[in-house]
Amino acid sequence: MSRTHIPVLGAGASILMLATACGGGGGAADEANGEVNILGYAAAFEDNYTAAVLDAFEEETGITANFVPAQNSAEMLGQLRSESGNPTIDVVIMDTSVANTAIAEGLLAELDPAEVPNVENVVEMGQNPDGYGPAVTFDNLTIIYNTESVTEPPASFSDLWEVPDNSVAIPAPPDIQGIALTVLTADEIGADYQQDIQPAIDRLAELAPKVQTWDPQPDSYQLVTNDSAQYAIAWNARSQFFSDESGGTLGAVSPEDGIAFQVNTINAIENSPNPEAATQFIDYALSPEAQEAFAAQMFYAPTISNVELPAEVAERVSSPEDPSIVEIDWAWMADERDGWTELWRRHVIGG
Amino acid sequence: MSAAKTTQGTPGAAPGDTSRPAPLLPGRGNRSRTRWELLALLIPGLIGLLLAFILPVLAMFRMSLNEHGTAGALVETISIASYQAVLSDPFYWQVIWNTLVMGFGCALAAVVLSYPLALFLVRTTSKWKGVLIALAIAPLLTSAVARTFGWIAILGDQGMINSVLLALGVVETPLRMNNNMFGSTVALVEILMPYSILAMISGFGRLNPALEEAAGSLGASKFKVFTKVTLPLTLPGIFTGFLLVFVLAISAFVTPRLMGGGRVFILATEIYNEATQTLNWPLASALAMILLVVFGLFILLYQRAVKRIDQG
Repeated sequence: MSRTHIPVLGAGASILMLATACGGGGGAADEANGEVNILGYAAAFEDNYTAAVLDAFEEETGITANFVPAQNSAEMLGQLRSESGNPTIDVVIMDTSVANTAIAEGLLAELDPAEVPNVENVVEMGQNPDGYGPAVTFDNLTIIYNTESVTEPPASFSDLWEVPDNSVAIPAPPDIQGIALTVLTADEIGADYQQDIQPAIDRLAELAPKVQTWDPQPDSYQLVTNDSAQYAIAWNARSQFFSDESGGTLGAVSPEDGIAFQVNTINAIENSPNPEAATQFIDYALSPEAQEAFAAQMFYAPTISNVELPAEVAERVSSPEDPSIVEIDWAWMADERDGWTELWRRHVIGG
Repeated sequence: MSAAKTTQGTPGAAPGDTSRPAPLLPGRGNRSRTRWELLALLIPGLIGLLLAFILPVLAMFRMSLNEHGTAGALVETISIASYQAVLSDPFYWQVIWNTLVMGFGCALAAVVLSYPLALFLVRTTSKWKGVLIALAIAPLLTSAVARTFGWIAILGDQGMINSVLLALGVVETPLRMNNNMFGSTVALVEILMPYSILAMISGFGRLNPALEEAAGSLGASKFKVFTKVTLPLTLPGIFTGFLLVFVLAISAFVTPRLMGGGRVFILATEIYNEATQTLNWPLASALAMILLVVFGLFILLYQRAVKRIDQG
C-alpha cells in the first residue's frame, strides 16, 4: 500500500524543489567596447531613468548604455555578490545603506575625482567620505491619500494618529520607510533615535489601530489609488509620479513635521568590464542636465548644488538644503535595523 | 467476499489460473546486469537531484555557518551563531510555532473539504468522471498570485463579502478578513485543495465498494459503514493529502506575504525578510535549514503512520 504514496510524495517533493528553486540570474551584455551596464531599480525607475538619462548619454557619447533592472537594492547586492569574480555590471544605483554593505565586502570601486569631476558638485550630505560613489538621487518620506475619499488631507505625520481606524498602509521595518517613520516620530517627540528609541516605539504603538496593513501589496500607491487604504506613507518621487499617472486620485503631502531623506548612490563596480565607460556614465549622471532631466521626469531631488530646477518641478521635490530635514545615519542604521524590526514586531504590530 | 478475494489475486490473471507470472528478473546471470541497467536509468534523475537540490542545500548550509558582520557585510567563517540567534530568541520559536499552526490548520481544512470531493470523484461512474476530475484540479492552471489577488478581492474591506454584509446592515464596519492569519489561511486552503484532492484520489486505492456493500448487507448502518470500512480504507489517502498540503503550506510564501498584511510571521516570510531586507543571509539560511528539518521530521512521522496503518 505504501507504494501508492510514493508517486504522490515524489510529486510533492518535485513541487517543493521547484518552488524553492526560484533564483534567477540577470544576464547582462558581455565585455564590449563602447558599452556600459547599469544595474538599477526596475519598472517606473527604469523607464524614466532610461528616457531621461541613458538615452541622452548614448546620444552625447556614442556609448551604448544598458539598464539591468532589479526589484530592490538587496537583489542588486545579491547579483554583485554572485558575480564578484567576473562582474558583468559596470555601475550600480542602489540605496546607500546597501551600498555600505557592498563597500564593506569590496564589491565597489573608489572613484578617481579627476575622472569624475562632477562629484565635487554633490552636496555634502551626498558625499562618500571614503571616496566611493556619491548620492545620485534624493527622495523623502511623504504621506499619500486618496483625494476622492479623504476630505481633509493630512498636513503632517502626526495627523495619521487622528485618522479613522483601519485606513492607513505603512510598510513596517525592515522596510526603510518604516525605519524613516520611526526616526521622524522620535524627532517629533524630542527623542534622540540613536540613544533611546523606546519612546518612539511606544508612540507608534498608538498608531496600530489605524493601520490596515504593515506590508502594502502590491504597494502603497496602488492601495491608495484604488481606495483600499485611504492614507499611506510613501516615497515622494513615486508619489508625485503616481499622482500624475492616477489623474490626481492619489494626492501627495509634503509633511510639515520633518523630512527624512532616502539616498540612492551611484557606484562603480570593482573589476568591472568597462571601467572607463562606467566613470564617464557616473560623471554624466551627476551633470546638471541629467539631474534636472530626471527630476523633471520622476521628481527625484537632485544631489548637486549647481542645478536649478524649473519652478513647477522644484515645488514638488524636497531640497537637500531644507532646514526641516531630519538626518538619518544609514550606516549606523544598518547594524540597528534588526533590533528595530524586532521592537516593531513586539510592541507596534503585535501590540 | 469473492470480489475481495479476486483483488488479492494476481492482477490480470483469470480466476482459477494457477500459473505463475513471468519473473521480472529472468535467470541469476541476468539479474545483476538488469540491476545495473535499473541503476543506470536512475542516473539522470540523480544528477538532476544533485544539481537542483543537494548542492544548493549544501551551499545554503555553508552560508548558514557564515556570520553577519558590521554594515550587513557577509563574513566568511565557520560559526553556529545564526542557529544560536534563532534558537535562543523566543520570537523565532513563535515564528516556528506560527508556521506549524498555519500548516496544520491549512492541512486539516483542506483535507476535510477535499475528502467528500475526492470520494465522489473516485466512486462516480458518470461518463463525465474525467471532466469532473479535471475541473477539480483546474485551479492549478491559474497562478497562485492571481488566485491570491482574487481572495483579496473577496475578503478585503471593500471586497465582495464585506460589501454584501455592509449593504445588508449586518455589520457597520468591514470585518477584518484580510491582512491577517485568517485571510492567509483561507486563501491557502483554497489554493492547496487541488493537491489534496489529487493525493486522496491516488491514495484511495484500497477502497472497494464491494466491502461497503457487504458491511451494509450484514446490517451495518451507513454511519457505521463509513466509520468502520470507508474511513479506515481511505486513511492512507487522507494522510498523503494532509502531508502534501502541510509541507506546501509551511513553505508557502506568496499568499502569506500578500494577505498577511505584515502581521503573519512565519518561516517563509522571515527568510525573505532576512535575505532581501536585512541582508542577513546567514540567518536566512539557518531559518531555511530549520524549515528543512521540520519538513524532514514530518515526512518521517508520516512514513511511520502509514507503516502502522499498513501493518494494522
